[in-house]
Amino acid sequence: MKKCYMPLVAMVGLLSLTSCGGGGGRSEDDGNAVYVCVYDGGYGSEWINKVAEDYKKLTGVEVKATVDSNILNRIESQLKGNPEFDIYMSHDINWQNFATRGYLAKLDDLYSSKVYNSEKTFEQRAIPAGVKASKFMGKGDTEEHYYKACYTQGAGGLIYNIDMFEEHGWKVPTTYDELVALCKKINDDAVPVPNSRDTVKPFAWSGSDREYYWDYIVFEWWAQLAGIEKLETIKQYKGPTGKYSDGYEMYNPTSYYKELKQAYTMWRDLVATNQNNSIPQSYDASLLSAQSAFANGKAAMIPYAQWAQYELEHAMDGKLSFNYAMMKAPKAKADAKDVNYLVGFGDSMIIPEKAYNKEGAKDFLRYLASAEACKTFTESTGGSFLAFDYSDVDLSELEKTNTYMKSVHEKLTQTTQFNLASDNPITYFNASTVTPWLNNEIPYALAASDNSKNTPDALFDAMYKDAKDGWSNWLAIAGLSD
Amino acid sequence: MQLLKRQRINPIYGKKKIKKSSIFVLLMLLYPVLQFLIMWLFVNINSILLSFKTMVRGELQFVKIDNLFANFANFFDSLKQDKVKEMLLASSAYLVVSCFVTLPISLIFSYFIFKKIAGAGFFKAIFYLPSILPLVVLTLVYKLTLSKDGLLGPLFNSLGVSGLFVGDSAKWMVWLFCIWAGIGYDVILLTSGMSRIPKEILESCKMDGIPPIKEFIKIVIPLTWPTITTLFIFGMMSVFNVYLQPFFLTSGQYQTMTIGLKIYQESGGAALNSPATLGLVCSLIGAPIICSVRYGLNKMYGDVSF
Repeated sequence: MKKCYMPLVAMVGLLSLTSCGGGGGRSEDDGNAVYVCVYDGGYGSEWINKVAEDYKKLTGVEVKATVDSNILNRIESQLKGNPEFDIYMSHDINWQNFATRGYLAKLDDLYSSKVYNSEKTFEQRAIPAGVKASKFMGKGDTEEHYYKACYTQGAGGLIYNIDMFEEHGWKVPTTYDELVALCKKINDDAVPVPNSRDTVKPFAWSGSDREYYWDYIVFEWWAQLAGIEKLETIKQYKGPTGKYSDGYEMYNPTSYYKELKQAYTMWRDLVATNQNNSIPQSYDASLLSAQSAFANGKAAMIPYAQWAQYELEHAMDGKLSFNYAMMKAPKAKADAKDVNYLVGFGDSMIIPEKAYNKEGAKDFLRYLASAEACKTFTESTGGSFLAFDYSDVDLSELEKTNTYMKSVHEKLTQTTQFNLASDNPITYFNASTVTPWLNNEIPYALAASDNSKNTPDALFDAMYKDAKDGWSNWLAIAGLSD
Repeated sequence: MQLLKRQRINPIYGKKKIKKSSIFVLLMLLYPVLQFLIMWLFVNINSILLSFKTMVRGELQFVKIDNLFANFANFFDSLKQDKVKEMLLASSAYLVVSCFVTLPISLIFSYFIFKKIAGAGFFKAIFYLPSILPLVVLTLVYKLTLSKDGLLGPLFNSLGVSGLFVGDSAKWMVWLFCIWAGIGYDVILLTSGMSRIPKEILESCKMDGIPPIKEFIKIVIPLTWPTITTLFIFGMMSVFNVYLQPFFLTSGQYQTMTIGLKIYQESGGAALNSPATLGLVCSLIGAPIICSVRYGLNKMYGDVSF
């Protein structure tokens, strides 16, 4: 009789063991260890390991970090059930959505507490735009609370080969017209590529994997042409009457989207229409192909973002043989101000409401906001910056030898920052439908592959029509009404 | 029932024996029943209920009775969008790709393999290979081979062909991939169906001097008709099922968005009412059509039993 129950007992036992498996293998020996999951992107794992080591020296608390490129697929189910980690750091975390459903811990006490080795609070250490972007009315709230901390600030644009520019007397362009002239000069100079019959082209870029890197410069032209205030209005996705019902007017290419169309036209004239400005067939090139073209001196510039140094050096298996830097966006018009599109601004650090060690997680974030941790991050990632104030972070020694880090730092400190993160529910309940490019259809590769495709008129008229046709449906999905 | 009857009749089955058998039967049934309840019944009921819910401050709540079919109205309203029309058209294309291109090609290849033509074993392995590799690996290999920097890139470049996965050619590349990867699966099922045809029938054909093409049409196709019907139905279902291929190859861009991919993408968000409604509408429209076609196909030839 007992033998008959054995399989059943074994099955129940197995299920019990399985259910104990949550918490990322956390055991009693872990004590107050903090479990952190970091998206495996362009920042690598070296920085988190170093910061964790320093934090342990300071507090005696162990931080167990996991770097995972698939975390976004699992994050929702983990937040809903038994979170494996106490902190999640990644891009594209739909945090407003999660806060609405009560999955995230409130971080008000973290923001009001002092960070390590500083008299400043976490709120004072975070960059102002990051503070504003981290508040939200979550489940059951009657007022806004902090639910996330911004992860990185981010800068993007054109990276250029300093040595090549100096050798051939090419001047770093400060306006769009100068950029056009520079491209012409690079082509006219026909500088031969060593060990090749090719000549140096102005741009290397990847249409197959990273066409959206062009966004970083196009959005900066857009901000310069339209003004940041107009972008703030557009981000609300409310119509001219201030109501949701005609929010699709934000896509009107003759009014609200006029300057984006103009910025896109500038890009199109420079890159898509003028194929000679790029490595042949860049619209079909992989990221590795574009990286190696730039690293091997086949192109003078490459559109990229702050993680360029980390990725380029890892892709090429070592430091590049030349100095390079990120240029400020050549101004779309002569009287425009220098701006910086906060590329990584959508990245978030969140603590699950059901996290095992919420207080430990907050304490680790308090350390991450310190000047020491910020410096470690920037040093280890080769020029990326956390979304904290760097005014008291001394990078001078590092910047003496790292031209790229210096250029990113200058871009972040000498320009006006803007971002395109919206707090309108239509943006986070419709996944990728409502973004600057509707349905997240990035236009660059197609425009470059076939000049008759994605013409400014056709592209923007189609977007406006799609927005108009789909608007009532998207409002319904987001549960919005006037 | 048989067991209980036997137990009543045969006195040698004691009380202890009955319990042991019952527990065994119960344990064996437990898994499939739970599987059915959790993975099918509950999931489907939940999906149906979701299509009657709406977002209110981030929470899905049941719609009010006076607006019971709001989600369905939204769906039909969305049909006027060009993108939705494109998606429906792109999804429907897989009916043609699966049923009228992949299946006939597979039938011909299967017949060749069945007839043991020279190199049949080699071709069999070539066709089977895509079926045993994960889709993500297959798509990667396919894309890398045909892209600018891929194995065949220089050849295409010399022919002036480039950017195959960008623009108008992208959808053709996805269809081509589906044909290439789909043939192996179809060939596996068709060759096993053909291998069951009695040798006597084929020998008789040979003795009567029936040419291979006639044998294929008059003998092989009717005798493997149940397998062909099954594959045809699977092909019809691909209108709703295909999502990973365009996801990996084009991210759903360039008119390659499908119903399946749309449901997959929207399921990642909180507003699950939208993909649930799309799924339910597709089921309501698709199920009767598929059942009717199946009924019609089954009528074409009588039952095959050998």
